[in-house]
Amino acid sequence: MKNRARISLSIGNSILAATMGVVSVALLLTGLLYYFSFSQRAQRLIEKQAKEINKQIVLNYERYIESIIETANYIQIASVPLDWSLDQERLQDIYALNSQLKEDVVSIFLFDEMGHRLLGDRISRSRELAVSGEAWFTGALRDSSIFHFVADGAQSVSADRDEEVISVSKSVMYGQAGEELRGVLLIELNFQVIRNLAQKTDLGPGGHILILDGDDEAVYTSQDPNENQQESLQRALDTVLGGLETTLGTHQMYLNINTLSHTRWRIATYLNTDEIETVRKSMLPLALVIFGVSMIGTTILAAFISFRISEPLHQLQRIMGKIEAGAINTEVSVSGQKEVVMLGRSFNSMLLKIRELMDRVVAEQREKRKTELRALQNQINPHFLYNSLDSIVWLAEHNRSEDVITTVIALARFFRISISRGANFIKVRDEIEHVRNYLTIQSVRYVDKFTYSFDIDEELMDRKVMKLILQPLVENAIHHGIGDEEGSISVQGSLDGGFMVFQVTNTGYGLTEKRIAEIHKSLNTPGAWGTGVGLKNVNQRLQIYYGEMAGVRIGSLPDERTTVTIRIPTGEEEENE
Amino acid sequence: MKKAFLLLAVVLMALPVAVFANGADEDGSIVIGANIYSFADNFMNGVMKPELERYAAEKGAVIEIVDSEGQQAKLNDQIDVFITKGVDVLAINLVDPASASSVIEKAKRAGIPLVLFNKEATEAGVMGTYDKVWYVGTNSAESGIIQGEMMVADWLNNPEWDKNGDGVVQYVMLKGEPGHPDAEARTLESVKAFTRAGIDVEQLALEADPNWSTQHGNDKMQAWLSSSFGDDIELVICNNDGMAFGAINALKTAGVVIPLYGVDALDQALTHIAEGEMNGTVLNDGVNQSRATLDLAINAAQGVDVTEGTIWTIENNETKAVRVPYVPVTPENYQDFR
Repeated sequence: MKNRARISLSIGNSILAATMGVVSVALLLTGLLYYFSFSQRAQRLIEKQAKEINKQIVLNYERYIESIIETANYIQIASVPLDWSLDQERLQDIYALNSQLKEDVVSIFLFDEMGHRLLGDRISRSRELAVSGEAWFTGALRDSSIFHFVADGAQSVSADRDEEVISVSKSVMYGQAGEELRGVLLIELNFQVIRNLAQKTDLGPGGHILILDGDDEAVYTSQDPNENQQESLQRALDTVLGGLETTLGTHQMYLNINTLSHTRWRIATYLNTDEIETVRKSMLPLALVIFGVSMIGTTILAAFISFRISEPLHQLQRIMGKIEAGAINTEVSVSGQKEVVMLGRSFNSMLLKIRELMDRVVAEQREKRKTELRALQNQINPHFLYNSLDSIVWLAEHNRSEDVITTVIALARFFRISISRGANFIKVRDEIEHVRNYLTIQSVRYVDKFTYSFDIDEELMDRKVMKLILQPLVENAIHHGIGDEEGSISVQGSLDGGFMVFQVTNTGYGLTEKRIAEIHKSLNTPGAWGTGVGLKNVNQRLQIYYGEMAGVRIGSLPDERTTVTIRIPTGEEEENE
Repeated sequence: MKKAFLLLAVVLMALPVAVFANGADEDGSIVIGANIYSFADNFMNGVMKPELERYAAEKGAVIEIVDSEGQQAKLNDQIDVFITKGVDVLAINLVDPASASSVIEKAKRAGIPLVLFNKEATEAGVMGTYDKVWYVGTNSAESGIIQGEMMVADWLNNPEWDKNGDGVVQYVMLKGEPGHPDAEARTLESVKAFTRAGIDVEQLALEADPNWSTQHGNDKMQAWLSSSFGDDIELVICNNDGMAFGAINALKTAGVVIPLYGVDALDQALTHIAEGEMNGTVLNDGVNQSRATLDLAINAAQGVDVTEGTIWTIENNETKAVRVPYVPVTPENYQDFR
């Protein structure tokens, strides 16, 4: 069993496995690529949208701040030619007018370097002395070139207003008695402005705006106070500038931080991106479902294709199985793929060859049998010839010339039939004639020792039978049955069912059961020539040609007679020669 | 076969990573992320940007210059993108000088060197918050000094300019944005040059225009010419060329010729000089500002001292600024700047 061929997967399974392998890899790859590219695109979309929104918010605030700065500049320009000590009323008008002009401007002031009010509304008593220490004031003096924006939750310094304000301050020069002096311009903006601007944009659930000042303190947040404002602030401080995807509480957010021109403030916008995130997350299961469905579809298709390919092969296999079981004449007809059909055809032609070979073997076998038959028949002839010539010599010695003539004629005819122009099968009539000639010859030899009779069904007469089968029996009957007393030999022929039955009966002592059994046994044993050569020869020839059904039987009634019966199946004789 | 599939899979997986990871240093050269505050600015776009590109190529550095379209918000985004891409150094032209602290903080968090150029951070002390930030620009005062020296020289060479012969310069000044460092410095320094030379000056009028506009210069000059002191004006000092163009227009309309000086050396100013309508201006040397910016940026990216191997010097440790000198432009040399 060492070199037994390894059996790999069946064709169907191989195709199935290969297809599934290729398809699943391809599907998995495309699925993943699709998912990642979608994710990336969604990401970019989020970023772009968030940045755009943030920029819009920043621009809204900047536009507003620029309008305030323009106001401040205008006040400066308008004030430059005027001297505080001389044109105080006109200056006061400029300040008052400008503060009224803009709805959001609560109040406008000018302070000197010491923090004393020079122009603008009346200042509340509580603040009067504190001005010089306030952030907007010190900032403006410390860094004179820029505007300072302070939103520390303080109320207006005006005595008449109590709104929460954003203080916008700038160091400015003013004229007093021909001198240029440094002062601080203060414009107070209603803090409500920031809220109003923030509310213009919808940032989704949990989305909000956070404004940080230059010191990273939260100036304003539109976030719900119930939510984690500290986390929002910390995230913004960590990021400083730019965009970032993050989670805030339960929400997915895109954080974007930008500076606000002139102010050193920063605006952080938290845009809720839950929706896009949800879509993105739902992509994965969707991709998996598509993958699964495609795989099932492919499996079915692949199974179908592999069935289509392997089924004709199975069909072929079944047919071959049938042929293996013996149905050699089965025609292979397989439909399907070209290769399989070709295989079927090749197999058919192979079968044809096999059948031809088998026929040839059969024919050769038959030929061989015939040769054997001839050899056996040839064994009889010389045997008989000696005896007959003995008889003729014996007759001639006794001058029985009439009998010699009869005998020689009979012998001549006997041989003519024997030869029968080489035919092995002759008509029963001729066979009987042959026996008759034989008996004629023998009766001459054994004068008055026996009588003989024929009783043959006329039906049998024209049937063909293997030649020289009766003569040996008759010879046997004469040899064993004829003794001192006059005996009789009868030859009977009849049809019994599917058999031709010939019986040669002779009177005499008969045979014991034991002896009959011995003879039967020796008849079927090749090479044992213990009994009469003739009987065995006949039995062999019958069986060689007609098969097991044919044969020689011996029956005996002790002290009465012995009957040798041969049975030959009908139907087979015709086909021969 | 299986291996081939596996390989294919790996390649496909790695592909997007490779595509998106192409930040800096693919061939070892330095990548500079730069911006121009607005491509609409003629000086920035016409002088500095081409020189930045040319000089970067000469130095073998890769520079990417983006347009901030005059929006600091846009610039903030661009900086964020540059940092994400992993540039080696940032060269930033601020849109809003007041936003410098946020930009510096962002660069500091990312650990990327930052060179600010042309627009100086206005916030006091902000340059000290990060050890790898520098500024390349000009000295506002210097433009005033150069303008003043030019005027003094011309004044001394042209005695007829002293119309009333009192030896005192009666001048009017178009100042520009009040409080603007350039405006304040020029106003002060240009006049100081006269006093240093022992020439007395008398300011007839001074106009502060926060918008530095040509229109405003024209309007104001017209008003001055028709005012009581209109005939006494011996000199017009403009703190930028834009306002000077307005004044020139007003003078031409009134049919008078008064010596007039500007600052910036814009193309149009050179034309006016050629036609004798303008007596001088001061070149804001964009070419050398560009070179200084890149010299510093490349050194910073390589981690060596920023001025090493360059002709530049850091002014002081507070401003951390390289000041590129201004160049006087006169009727004698204006041809060199066309």
